[in-house]
Amino acid sequence: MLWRGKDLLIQAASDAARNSALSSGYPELDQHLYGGGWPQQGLVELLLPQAGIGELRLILPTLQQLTQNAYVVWVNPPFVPYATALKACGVSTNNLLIVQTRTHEETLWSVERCCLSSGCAGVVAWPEERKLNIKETRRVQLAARSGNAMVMLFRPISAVERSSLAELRLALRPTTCVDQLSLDIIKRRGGWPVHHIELLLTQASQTPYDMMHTLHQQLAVWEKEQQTETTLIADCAGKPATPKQSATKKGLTNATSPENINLENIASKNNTASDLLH
Amino acid sequence: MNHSTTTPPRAPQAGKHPTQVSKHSSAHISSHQWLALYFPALALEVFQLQDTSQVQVVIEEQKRVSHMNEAASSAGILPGCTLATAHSISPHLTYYERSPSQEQERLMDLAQALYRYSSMVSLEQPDCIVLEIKGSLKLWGSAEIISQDALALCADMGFQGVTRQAQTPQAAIALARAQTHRLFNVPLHVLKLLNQGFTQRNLERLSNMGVYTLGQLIQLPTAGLGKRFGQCLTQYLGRLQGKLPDPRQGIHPAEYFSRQHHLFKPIRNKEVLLQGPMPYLAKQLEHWLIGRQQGCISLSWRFAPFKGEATALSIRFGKGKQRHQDILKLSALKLEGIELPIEVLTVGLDMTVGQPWLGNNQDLFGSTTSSTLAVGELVDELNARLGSNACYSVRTQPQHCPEYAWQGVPCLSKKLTDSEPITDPIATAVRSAGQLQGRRPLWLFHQPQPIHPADLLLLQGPERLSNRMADMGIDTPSADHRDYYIARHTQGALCWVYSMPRDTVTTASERWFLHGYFG
Repeated sequence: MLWRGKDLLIQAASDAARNSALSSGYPELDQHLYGGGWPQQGLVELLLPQAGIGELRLILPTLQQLTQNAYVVWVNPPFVPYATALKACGVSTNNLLIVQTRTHEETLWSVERCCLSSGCAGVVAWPEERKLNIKETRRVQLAARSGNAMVMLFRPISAVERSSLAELRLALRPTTCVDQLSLDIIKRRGGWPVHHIELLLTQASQTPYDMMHTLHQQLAVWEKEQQTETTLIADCAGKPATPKQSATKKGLTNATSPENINLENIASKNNTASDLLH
Repeated sequence: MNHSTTTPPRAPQAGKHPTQVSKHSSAHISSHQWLALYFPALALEVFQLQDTSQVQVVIEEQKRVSHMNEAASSAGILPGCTLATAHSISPHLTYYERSPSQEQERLMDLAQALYRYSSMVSLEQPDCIVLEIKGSLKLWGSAEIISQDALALCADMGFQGVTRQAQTPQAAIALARAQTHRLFNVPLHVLKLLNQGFTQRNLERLSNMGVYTLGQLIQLPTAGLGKRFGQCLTQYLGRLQGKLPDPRQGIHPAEYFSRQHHLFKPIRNKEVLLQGPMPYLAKQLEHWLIGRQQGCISLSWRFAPFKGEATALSIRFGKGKQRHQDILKLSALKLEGIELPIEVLTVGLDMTVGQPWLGNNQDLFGSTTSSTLAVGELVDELNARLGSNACYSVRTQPQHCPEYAWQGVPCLSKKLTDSEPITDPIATAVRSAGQLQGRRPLWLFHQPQPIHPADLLLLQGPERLSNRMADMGIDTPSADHRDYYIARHTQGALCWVYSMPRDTVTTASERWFLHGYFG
């Protein structure tokens, strides 16, 4: 008769309304999340090194579901959420509200107020990282719980080191392929942290952007080999050249003129690369 | 004289009664036509004192105590004693001079609020209001409900009333003033008969005769009374008993809501304003709105000092509002952000724009409609706290140029419910859903950022979009078209970049611009 913490969670799971989950649209992610999806009430933190790596494509299925019959408020988005694209992806743009705030207090107040509104099912917010403290994450978490809303806070990756009372914390990292996203679950209910979950973002956006990813990878391998060869030659010739220097000189995307970044160029390069490899 | 014209119309009503009795056990109550509200402590309550349980307060009229609160009366102060006597009994007494004009104003405010119960609301000076409720019984159910509701309304506005119902307005007033249920017991001195045209001499003669109550007076032969005391007594009794017509002058509900509240003491604190005068005015507005079946769209507060300019605070609602809580909530949010005069002496409230009241229709499954309403409130609050441009929604526009293909619509909640304007079908959702999916970035930059091409790996493109900025008169160093590519930045972001035609710019680094992220 060993008491295990997990049993408690199974009991709590019977309280279904409170722990209802919203499928993220990615089965690989859902299987790691408590209840099989995002917590429908509570705070989720997404930590990213920079904007544009796929964070919106990650939450796109969630946005599609939430905007069906309720509103989703974006508090302080860093750029303009582009209505044309969102609409094309099936998000009901009529049910989106954008709120721009001037101070950190206003941001928190707006998030809290939106959570408590019954017409608002989700809040996506970009708070000011320097001012956000653990007490405030608790405040947001409580507001999200009591208002039956899902709050997603986007924070920089440096916030991994800082503790937070969020229900779920994910660290997002870009991979070499733009259609893939690498996820670390830093904190979750009912489980230990999980690292390196690879998600294929095309599941949500339906559009692969990097169709020649394998070719690019091969090209990268070839360039690396070339690089090591040149270093070896340089070493043999008695001219010490640090690999760093040569890397900056001959990096994959280090094109000296824009003409080089051209699909034909890449393709021709790639042909030579594949010829060499095989 | 006794067989007046009012008798015949009453006969058919009496004939109706048996049928009503069979339906209602309390037919005698429902047949009451008039409801009187009497405010015994009106003189005291106009001062709107908070927490009077400890402080002894008296109201003096011509240096004599006319009204007092419970604390003062338990200290032993009697009505009618001089102010000096009262002070000697209790040195810490607070006293105010009676203010009949304020009493009249408050009585009028109450009458306006009570207009929601009846179309015939009449003032009886100095401290009574009578309502004709016969016509409202069907709507409200019974006279009891009306009287309970009216009392609650008055209590909400800070006035304690006594209600009585009777067949005639005078009888209802007499019962309410005497606070009894039988006309027979009503003492004459409470009736304020001087206001009915009686002379002081006549009243003294009545009491000399040993006539102290209405019952005693009614039992006397009317003709004899008329001879001795003049017509005004018999006329009063006739009106009291319903033998004579008693046409009353009803109030006219105010066409526009514009009220002022003059404070007896200046207020320096916003909190005090939000607890005292502002709720009072907001409640009045609520009653006025309910009485007129209106919803408030915009209103303006005025906070005036003793001398100098008043500060105005205007508030706009997305949807018509009635409840004073809603009005106050937004007012409190807006009040935080403005500077008030140091000492506010007058608070005013005007309703500037109204609309016919639309009730909240609840959705059967409680989803879309109610959530739109809730969001309307949310938007109002966000606008009030963050400024009117802080909250907007995004809309697509039938334009090719990415800068113009979206539009931020400042959302008043009214617009939230509107459907999207019908736009050019070629460029709208149908087409974009099919062809643009994944070809436009989820994040768009307000201004394209120059980017070094060395950081980019082009993945897809080009897609040529014509640039209509020159047509629109915007001065940009741009050509008439741009070639858009989807590219991967070395740091991992999926970018939407464009290049300018080579002939417009000289250096390569000036040719490439980052216009969005695919997010």
